[in-house]
Amino acid sequence: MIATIGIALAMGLLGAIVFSAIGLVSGTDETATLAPLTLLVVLVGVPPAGVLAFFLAGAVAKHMTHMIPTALLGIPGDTLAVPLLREASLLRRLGVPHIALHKAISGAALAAFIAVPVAVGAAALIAPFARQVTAAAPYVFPLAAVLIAYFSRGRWAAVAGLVPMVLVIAALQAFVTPLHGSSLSISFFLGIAIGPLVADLFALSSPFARQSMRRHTRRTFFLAPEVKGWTGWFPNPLKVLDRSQQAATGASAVLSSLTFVVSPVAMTVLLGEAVGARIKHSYHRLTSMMAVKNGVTESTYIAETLIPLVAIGLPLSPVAAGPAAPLFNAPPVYTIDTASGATHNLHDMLSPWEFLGFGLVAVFVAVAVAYPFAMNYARTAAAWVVRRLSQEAVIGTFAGLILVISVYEGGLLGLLVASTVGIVGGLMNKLLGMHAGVQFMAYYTAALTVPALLG
Amino acid sequence: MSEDEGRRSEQLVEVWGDVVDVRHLRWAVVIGCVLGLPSYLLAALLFRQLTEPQLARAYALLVGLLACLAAGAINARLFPPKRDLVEEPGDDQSRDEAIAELVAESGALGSLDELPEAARRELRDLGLEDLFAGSRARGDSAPESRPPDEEAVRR
Repeated sequence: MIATIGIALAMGLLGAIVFSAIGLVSGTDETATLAPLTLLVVLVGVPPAGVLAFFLAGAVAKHMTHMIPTALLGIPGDTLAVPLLREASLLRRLGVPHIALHKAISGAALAAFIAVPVAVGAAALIAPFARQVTAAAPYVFPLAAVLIAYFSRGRWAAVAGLVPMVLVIAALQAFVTPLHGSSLSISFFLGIAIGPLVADLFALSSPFARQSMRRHTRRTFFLAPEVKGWTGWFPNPLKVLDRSQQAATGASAVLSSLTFVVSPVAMTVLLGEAVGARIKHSYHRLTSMMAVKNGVTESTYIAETLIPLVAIGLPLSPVAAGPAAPLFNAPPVYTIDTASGATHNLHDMLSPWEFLGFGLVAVFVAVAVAYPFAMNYARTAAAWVVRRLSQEAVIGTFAGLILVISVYEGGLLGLLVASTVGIVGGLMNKLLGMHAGVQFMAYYTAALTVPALLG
Repeated sequence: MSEDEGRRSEQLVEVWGDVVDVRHLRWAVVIGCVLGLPSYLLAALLFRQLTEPQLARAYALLVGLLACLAAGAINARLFPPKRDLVEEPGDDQSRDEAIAELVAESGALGSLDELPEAARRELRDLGLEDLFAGSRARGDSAPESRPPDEEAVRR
């Protein structure tokens, strides 16, 4: 038991450090970073408690440090930082970017601690229906896919786009399975997660498509001035937020921890605006919305991972199907049987109490790492990333990773699948606004529904 | 001078949300792939002699990951970012614009009396109390999103 806790602490620490760093790099999408790295952690044989702690600590830490570029540079740190950009930019122009940062990460810390117990509790309420849900899985996935697609930026286009996407995946799977001897899945995931990059690299090698990607100037970043507002190392998050902000952040964290089908971005906007509409004073509205919205980015991620994982074992939420997918399905270690919907993954390996305990360990470690880091070194870190870490280096690393992981799973076939799914998915993502979460649902529909209906 | 020339011959494109030089990117991708894949394959061969196949593949994957990270570090040294960083001084004009935008949004900044004590102290400590109090008289009387009164906003 002590060894298990030790592993959870160590993997949580690793996740927190790695994703505190990744959070600093603007535009590092959660799915493209959390999914492949969590997958690696699963595949190298880390025990379940360590995998869970790595993922949760990574997600929590990333959603704290993603506020550093958002607040100090005015560019969104990742997909979920986009809804916070406007308030952050206003506070920055008022000359108090550090307040935007402090309120947001304190809200995140508070919400993360609340979300774990609430989500596990919500899962316990759903668990009695798990068997029915699993039995109905072939029909639940297409429904969820349509729902998630409709709420993506693509609306009906994304819903319609499900058909070709499901067909492409099903056809590829039917093609590679006899050749490889067993079906592939990691290569599909990877292709979807990293699709927009694959599509960009293809476009870049076409003289025709490259024209639209040309830029004549470098990007200019405006770094907000340093404002020293407090002394010490680890300011109490509860002191950074006033009482009404604590209450609003806590309430929205509880609310967002009970639901798990709405996309995290939509949830963040919804609850943030709901709270904002009730506050009359502009300054107080801005700072409260920073705390609430960033709190919700944490609580939705935690809830959308934990509720389906603890209660059902099938990835039935946008987060579970996307960034958290390897916790559900990472063959040969974790599997979902496509014929019966039976699972062999974290759901079966950890008890609800263990989810609660290791979940809290992960949040604790992430807050202990990311919170003081963001409080003390935000400006230095933001400047370092802009000046030293080139986009070329980031892309080179990911290109290598796609290659290695897809060859690991399926040799040359794996690579072909990852790049085919990558370009198709990437183009659908860019042209239709059909994000990776929708495409992951298309994958599950192809794996579970197509055989059940047409087989 | 040489930096200027270097910049002029840059072939900038936007990839995955940020600006890169095409030639640098090409090499960065080559370095990432050439370091990553062979490291994985060689490690897989090597570990297969030493341990059971499933574990050997996992260790090899770890080696592959480390090689990709190493490639990233090399690329970061070789290819500097195509970004300009401007240290922005806080100025009154952008403050005023922000205030104007807030007024346009809700019609009023809101009264300081409505603020909880903690928030009011926070505003005072930040030196923003006057900025928000100054537009109060106008903000309370103006109902909807009328364009901000320049003078009131500027206090």
